[in-house]
Amino acid sequence: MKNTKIFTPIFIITLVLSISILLANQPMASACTISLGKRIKFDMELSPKVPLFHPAKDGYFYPGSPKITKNLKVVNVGHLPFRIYMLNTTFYGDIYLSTGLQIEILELRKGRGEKPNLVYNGTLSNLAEGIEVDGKRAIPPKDSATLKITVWMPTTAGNEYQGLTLKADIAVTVRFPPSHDDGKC
Amino acid sequence: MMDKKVLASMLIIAVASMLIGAGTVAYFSDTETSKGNTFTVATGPDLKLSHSSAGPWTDGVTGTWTLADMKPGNETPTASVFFKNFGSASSTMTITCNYTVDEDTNPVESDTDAYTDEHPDEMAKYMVITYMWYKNDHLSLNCLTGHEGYSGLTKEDWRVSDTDGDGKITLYDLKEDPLVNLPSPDTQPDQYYTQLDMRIKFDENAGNDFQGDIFDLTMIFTLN
Repeated sequence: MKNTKIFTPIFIITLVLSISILLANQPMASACTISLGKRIKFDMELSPKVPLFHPAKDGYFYPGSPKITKNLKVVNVGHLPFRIYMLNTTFYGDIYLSTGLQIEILELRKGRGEKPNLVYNGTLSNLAEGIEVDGKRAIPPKDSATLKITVWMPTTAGNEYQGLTLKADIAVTVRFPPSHDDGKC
Repeated sequence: MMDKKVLASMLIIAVASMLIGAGTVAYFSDTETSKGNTFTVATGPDLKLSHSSAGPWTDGVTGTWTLADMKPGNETPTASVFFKNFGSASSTMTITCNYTVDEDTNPVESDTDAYTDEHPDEMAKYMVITYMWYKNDHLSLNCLTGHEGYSGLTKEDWRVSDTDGDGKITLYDLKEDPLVNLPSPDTQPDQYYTQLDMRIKFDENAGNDFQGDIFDLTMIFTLN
């Protein structure tokens, strides 16, 4: 009887906490659309949906060739604000070329005259490992952020890159809740 | 007494769960991908050489300028290297040289410097370039003066200068002052090629330091 009195509440509390912790430790939801109840969803789209970079539009790279700049829009089509959290890239084809190309990614600000936020600057190859992005702005529903992506081949690149073709899928991950946001969207 | 134990247990569990909970945050995330981005690098120029305007074209030729058993005052015949670009368009050509001296193959007692191989520049200063023309159907450039006949232009880049001020243009000078920014050879179609004609003379004033020595010259052509 005594044991029952002691262990029943402990058991109940432990059970509740275990369930809570278990739920909290579930993998992050990562479907394109996450429905929260009947009305709320968490969803993002990239624009344009066609490839940003293509030699038919941009020409070929060569050492010191002009930099190619494209804008990638991250659009909030859900009901919750988010912040850009991670960028990574999957390569195909002549993967070695990723070591010979430089890429700069800027997150453009909304306000006029505001300096863009430098997200990444380095070799394209490093993006394969994924980089965490300290997205500066929470993007509210129906709003968007623009990533200005510039790719170039430095003048120091050597003959070993001649004739290579690299394909890249650039993945953008956003996250809710937007951290260090002060609740502003 | 019993209530205290229950209370204590609940407290411990609550504190433990708070600690665990503090390190556990759940996020929603969404990932979208911009697919099919393609980056292609152009192919560069691809210079090939031949001893004949008709080819065959290879990445290198040997024995263009040879002078067996040379004595001071001897000169090679005029010999030519032909160039053709099999790659994408190029802008300029650079011509320079490197050399070594072989003391071991033919040692002679009268050689007063048995270590010329350690300072080949000394022998190169006696290898005089007496004739050097870079030319094709639209180009006739005297590399000893820097003057191009068709355009009438004269450029410092296009001539080998007397870097050591000894009054001669030698292979040492070519190494120290390469010909740069030369117009690139014509690219295909097949009938176009560019050539370098050159003669080299073993200077009359070369002394006994070079007796029995073998001078091995490498001409270096770079298409930019």
